[in-house]
Amino acid sequence: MRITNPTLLRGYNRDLNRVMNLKNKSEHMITTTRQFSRASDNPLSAAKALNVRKSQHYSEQYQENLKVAAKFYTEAETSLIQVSDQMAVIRETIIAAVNTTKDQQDLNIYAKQLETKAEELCAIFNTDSAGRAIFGGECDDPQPFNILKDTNGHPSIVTYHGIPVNSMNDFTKFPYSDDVNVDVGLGMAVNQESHEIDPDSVLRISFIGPEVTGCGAERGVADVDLSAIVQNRTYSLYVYAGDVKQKVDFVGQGTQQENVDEINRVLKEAYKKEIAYGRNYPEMDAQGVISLRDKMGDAVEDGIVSVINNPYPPKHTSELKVDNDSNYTDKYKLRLSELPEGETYKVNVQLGNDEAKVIEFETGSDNLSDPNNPVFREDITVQNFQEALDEAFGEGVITISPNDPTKGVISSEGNIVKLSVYNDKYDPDATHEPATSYGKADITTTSTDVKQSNTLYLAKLKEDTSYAMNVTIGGTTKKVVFKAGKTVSDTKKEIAEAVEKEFEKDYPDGTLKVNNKGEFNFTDKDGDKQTVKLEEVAAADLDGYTSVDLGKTTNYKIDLTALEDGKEYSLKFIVGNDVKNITFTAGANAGANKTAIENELKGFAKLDDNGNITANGNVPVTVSNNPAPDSKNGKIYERESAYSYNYIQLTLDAARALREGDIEYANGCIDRLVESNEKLLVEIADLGCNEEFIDFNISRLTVRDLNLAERQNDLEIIDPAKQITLWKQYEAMYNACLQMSSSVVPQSIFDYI
Amino acid sequence: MRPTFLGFETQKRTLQIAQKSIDITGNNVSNINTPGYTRQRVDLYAQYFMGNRDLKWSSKSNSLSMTGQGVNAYGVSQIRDIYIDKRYRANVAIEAESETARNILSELEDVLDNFETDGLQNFTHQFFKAMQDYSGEKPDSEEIAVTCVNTAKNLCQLLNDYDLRLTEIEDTYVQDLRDTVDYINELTNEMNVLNDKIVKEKFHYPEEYDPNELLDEMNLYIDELATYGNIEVERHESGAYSVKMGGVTILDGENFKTNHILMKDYETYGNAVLYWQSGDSFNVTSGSLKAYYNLINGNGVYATGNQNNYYGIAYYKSAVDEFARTIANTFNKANYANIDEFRAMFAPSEKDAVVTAKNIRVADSWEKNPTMIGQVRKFDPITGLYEYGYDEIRDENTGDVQLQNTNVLYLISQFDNEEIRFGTAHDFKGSVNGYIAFISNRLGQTIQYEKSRNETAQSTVDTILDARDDVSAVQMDEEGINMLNYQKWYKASSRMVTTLDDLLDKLINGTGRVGL
Repeated sequence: MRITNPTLLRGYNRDLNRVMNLKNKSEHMITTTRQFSRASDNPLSAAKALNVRKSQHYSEQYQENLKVAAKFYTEAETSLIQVSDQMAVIRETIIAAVNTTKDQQDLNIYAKQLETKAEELCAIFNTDSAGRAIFGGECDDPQPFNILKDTNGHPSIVTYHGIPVNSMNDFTKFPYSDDVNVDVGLGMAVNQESHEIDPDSVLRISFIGPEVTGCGAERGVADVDLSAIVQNRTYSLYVYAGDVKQKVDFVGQGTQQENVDEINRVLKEAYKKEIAYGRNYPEMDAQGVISLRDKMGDAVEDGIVSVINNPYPPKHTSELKVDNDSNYTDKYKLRLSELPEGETYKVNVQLGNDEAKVIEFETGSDNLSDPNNPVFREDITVQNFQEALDEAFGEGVITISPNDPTKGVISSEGNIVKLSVYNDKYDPDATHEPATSYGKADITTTSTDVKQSNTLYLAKLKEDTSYAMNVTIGGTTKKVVFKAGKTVSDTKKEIAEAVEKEFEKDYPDGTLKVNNKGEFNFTDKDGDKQTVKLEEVAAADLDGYTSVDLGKTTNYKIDLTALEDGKEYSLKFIVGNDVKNITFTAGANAGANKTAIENELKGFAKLDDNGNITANGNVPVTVSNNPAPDSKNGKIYERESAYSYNYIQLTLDAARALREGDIEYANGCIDRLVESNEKLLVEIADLGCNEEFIDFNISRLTVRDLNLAERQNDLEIIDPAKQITLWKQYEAMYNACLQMSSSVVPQSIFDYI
Repeated sequence: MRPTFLGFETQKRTLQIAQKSIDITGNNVSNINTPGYTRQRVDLYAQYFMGNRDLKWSSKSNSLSMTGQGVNAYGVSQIRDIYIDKRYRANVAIEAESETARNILSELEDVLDNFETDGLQNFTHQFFKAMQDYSGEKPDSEEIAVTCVNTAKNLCQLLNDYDLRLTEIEDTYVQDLRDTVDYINELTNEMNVLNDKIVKEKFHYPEEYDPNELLDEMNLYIDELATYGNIEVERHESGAYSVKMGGVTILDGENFKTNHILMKDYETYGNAVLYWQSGDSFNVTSGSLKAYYNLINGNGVYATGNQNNYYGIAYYKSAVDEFARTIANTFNKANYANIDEFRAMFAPSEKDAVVTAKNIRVADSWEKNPTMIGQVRKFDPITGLYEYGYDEIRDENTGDVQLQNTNVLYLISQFDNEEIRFGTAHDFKGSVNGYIAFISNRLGQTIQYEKSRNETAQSTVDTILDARDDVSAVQMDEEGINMLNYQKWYKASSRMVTTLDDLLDKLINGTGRVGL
């Protein structure tokens, strides 16, 4: 081959360039510490690196989520351990109570102790983690557990989100019994259609209270105190029977038997579907005990019935049972079940902006004679209504939904149609009197001079009113102006500030304190007390402010003899800043009336034989007829007679048994508490397992992080030693190449001839 | 009878040829660095005389006396191998093609980088992280939901920026292509002129050898033309060259015509469309024109019309568009926007347009109401309609409402949804992150392919250049030896003239004079 100069030069140039490239690339790798700066440098590593990075990102996020969960589980475990300790104490208390002969007073003390313990348990289960109740299920609010008191003021019924824990055996039927979950990298699986999360693929960070504390009872009947039912009073109850909850309303009747009949009537109405389908339903016996019956009418041995007063009774509405107080919308849905049988209704139906048309239809009747094919009046009503709509608007223009849960919603091609309902007896102008009205007690007032030189009755001050008074401290008199606040303590602060400011010159750094009785005490900077004297400001000097009233207080007197026997009265008491409404039924004479009122007042204020009312301490009391009682609903109280599966309830039941001297019952609680405690220990162990699982996952992810970091290093980061060695090598090669340059063009024959 | 001065004539010619040989050696040495120069040599032959070769000195009519007339030359030729030229031109086209492709793709990769700068992966992750953080909160936590909006905005802006920069690259290379086409046309014009010169030269001096220097110049032009496309070269009797590119004559040596390449208006066609002045369709199989064609029009699986299946600028623009569209569709759908428009998380900047990387925005409805994504679609049993609200559990007693963030968990699950189809042509099925890696990998692989193709072609071209040098380049030692040789030759010839002179001198001045 002929080696020519261009060949040599091109080859040299090419090689020099190649070495230069290697050197440059190596330098870039060292300065960036990266094996590649573009995917094309090493597509395989780059693809892997992207995956590793993604895994790293996910791993970090999952660790954060796990830490949230870890805190939650730790707090739950701590709570349960506390509970376990408390349960030991409860058990010992019951054992002590039942095993020694005690008189009732001692038993009452034990009962009180148990009640306190139950309240403590409640408090523990209301523990929150970062603002969310741990045992509240999906509910964010704290305090899912609550204890209702009985007529005697003793804690009696444990409720979870307002529902007695005894009422249902299935904890999932309690409200908020779904889980709150976080994605912790278990491969969160979500159904793409229903958007439902597979619970096994996430970590739950909520506990359902009744699941942990137990729910339901061995057998449960509701013992309604029939004697407490007042005639003509409306009652609203929540009944839980056979895991079906119903709200029943009834009006108090004249006799006990009539009440039983009335209650059974509304129960039957409420549970008509259960009855029609042969399922269990509740029924009250002549003594007022509601128990669960099977289709033969026999009591179900392990059935549970629970009744509580509806804590949120409906506001009084017209007799048109139209959904007016719904949280949703009130103008589109008929409350079909509340339309009585065989009545004719007139309904205004408004389509869009067209004028409303009046539709007349008849409500249907139940036909439950054929248990295989029961006919419910709601369905007939829907049919009738639909027919009337078709006639008025044309077929299919407006439809009323026949199927639950939308049954009764009327719509037109998917759009809601406005509806107003009235029956043919409707008189829109009539005012609707409450079902029960109260008698009016004769209350007279007299004034007493209670003027004291250093006392101001704070409760008499009106909110947001600016008052003026003369204050004398140590011979100096100043006009002090202050504004009464929303609460007494606000007002106290206002007064103290105003007085201290006025007397700043005379008594620098002095302190005014107003105690609960309204007495003023002034202390100067040396700690010496100074006498304080308060005076009303002369009308001429008021400058538009209101004068304080130091002089008189008003005494209230109820004319006990003027009360009508058997009539109900409602009174409003204000003592200091506290308000109490009482409702009582008047007796035959003044003495009976006094007792009736005192029973309701429960020491809130004093009442003498003449009907004079005084407070405990020197605070004014005002009394008035209560024109708008808070609730027109009567209250009834029930008691459970079987053992609860819920240990807080069991504790309360034991306490009640002790109060009633039912040692046998209390004794029965002990074994069950032991059993519950064992379950609790299992729960705690479970929690421990979960915590371990979380810890395991955290450490797994930490290890994974390390591995991923290492893998990322392998994939993306250079090995400096190796790379620097290489670079040195390239540099040497490059230098050698440069050195060669002088002899790239070799000597030729011309150099020698 | 031998003519008296026959020897002188012979030596005169020898001296002339020796002199020319030295000239050509000098020419070779002079042009050792001239691009395209082909080494030349004087083609020598021994002069012979036709006739009776019998050694009959006495005969009157023999030609023996005419023999020994020395050397003569056909002319000065150049040493060239047309097969090497052909191979060189085929390979240099591939080299130029892969080089151009690699350069353009590298620019794309600079834009779509995930490694040295924060790219799609990072921005997607920020969006994911914001959603995760939000999922642990109550859905009405607006201050945290805002983070989701902001990270989504950043993602949109990145996509907008991608589109802008990819379009810039596209514009740059469309302009490059225009310039290249102009340049090729200019080149063929010059070659046409050169053809004319060569033919004239041949016509006027038909006895002569080819005009070597003109041929060198023509070959240089052809070599350059070869980098733009696959060419075929034909030389005519007249000495003119005809060149075909991609099967179509670009230079017609017989008729001295050029066939220019024309480019249709890019703005109108949206693709690079070249065609021949002659009306033939343009179709090259290699060369940098092919690379421009591929890179500008290459739309991979989305190719339609004038586009081709190469994964070029158009494809990556489409891929980024598809990413934008799919992200928008996936999250919009997951958030029920397919049922109710106002639920859209992403939207195009112009109403009713298809979402692209250029126009993707965070939807107004989401921006105004960041916690919208915390709301689910639910059936209202009272109205019988679906409505949107937080996933709430309403306490039927108190009316208290508890809020859950299930919708966001569902949205998060979309990040790992392996069933997402990216691209109308079903380019990719898998997760969002998978697609990012897929695109990054496809680009990387293509670049690497072009890179190794380029390296191979380069190495082949180098080998061929060496082979060409082997034949055609000037070798210094060789020329030096020739120079010495020709010098001695010349000297010997000169000496021969002296000898002949002596001979004649003897014959003329010394013959017949005895004793002088």
